[in-house]
Amino acid sequence: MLGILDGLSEEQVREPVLPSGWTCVGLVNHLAVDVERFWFRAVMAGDQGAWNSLESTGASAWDVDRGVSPASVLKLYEEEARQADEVIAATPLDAAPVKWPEGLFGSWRLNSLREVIVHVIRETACHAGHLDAVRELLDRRQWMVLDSGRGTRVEESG
Amino acid sequence: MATDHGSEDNDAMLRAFLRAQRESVLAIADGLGEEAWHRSVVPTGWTPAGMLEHLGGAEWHWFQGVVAGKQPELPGDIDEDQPPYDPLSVVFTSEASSAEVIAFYRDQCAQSEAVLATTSLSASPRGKHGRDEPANVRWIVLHMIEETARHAGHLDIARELLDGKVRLGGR
Repeated sequence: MLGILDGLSEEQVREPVLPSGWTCVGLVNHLAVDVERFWFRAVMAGDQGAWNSLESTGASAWDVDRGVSPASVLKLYEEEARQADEVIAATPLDAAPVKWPEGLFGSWRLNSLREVIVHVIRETACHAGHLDAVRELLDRRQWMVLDSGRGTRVEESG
Repeated sequence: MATDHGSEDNDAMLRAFLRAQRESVLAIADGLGEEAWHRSVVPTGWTPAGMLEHLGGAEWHWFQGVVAGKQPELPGDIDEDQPPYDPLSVVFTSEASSAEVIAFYRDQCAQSEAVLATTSLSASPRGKHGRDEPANVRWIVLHMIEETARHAGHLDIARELLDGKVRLGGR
């Protein structure tokens, strides 16, 4: 995920590329706050500070103020991922979420840390696909999923 | 206490995630006009039809080729999608109609499910991925969740640029 943004200018990562208007920097902030912080610290660990931070801002994580640098958003994502890893290390995979957001998702529910991890893998991968395609539109270089026995990596061509 | 990743419930959960991810891909493409299936909106030229055909090829490669150890020979004209990829030349397009690529993808997914129905996720794959030998079938299921989700992201962007529709893939 982090490698996809390498080499883009600050203007490019703040540029809405699609009609829906999201930006690359907004997407990374969404992953940091709404995915890593939300699923691991807030939902899985039930950390009240994490819930307070999510509920207090009122603003969408997709909207990043111009005063916030893209570098700081990337740093936040790495920091949130690190804290998520701490929750994962301290929690049995079979453990149920400590604080499920009742009502937010209707009847849909993830029942264990294991399910939350798989959900976050798929959500992160889907957003990486969004970034692949938007990056292609920004700089005309292809970013595609290649397979290797060690996992999936991104290669560029052209 | 060691965690048993290989319990039936856990493996059923992983397989359910993969099935849901495939349905998400089909939902993103559902209702796209025939012309749009074959129109590229990105500089490198891939199309929704080509992407879905590639995903069908990935199902074949990973579950028939790697898990079941069948020789890598695919129905249809998608041999170029088989690893090892040449990242400089691979562009996913298809001459087949949308109905044909959807049917191909669904058929490949059904064949993958047939393999998984009789294979433990703890089993070692019978085939290889290039020179690599994934540790077990569970790794491959997780890989396919991830690869399918990533291509769903690609299709999301194409769909928005083709006809303005967004957030079709569900959760």
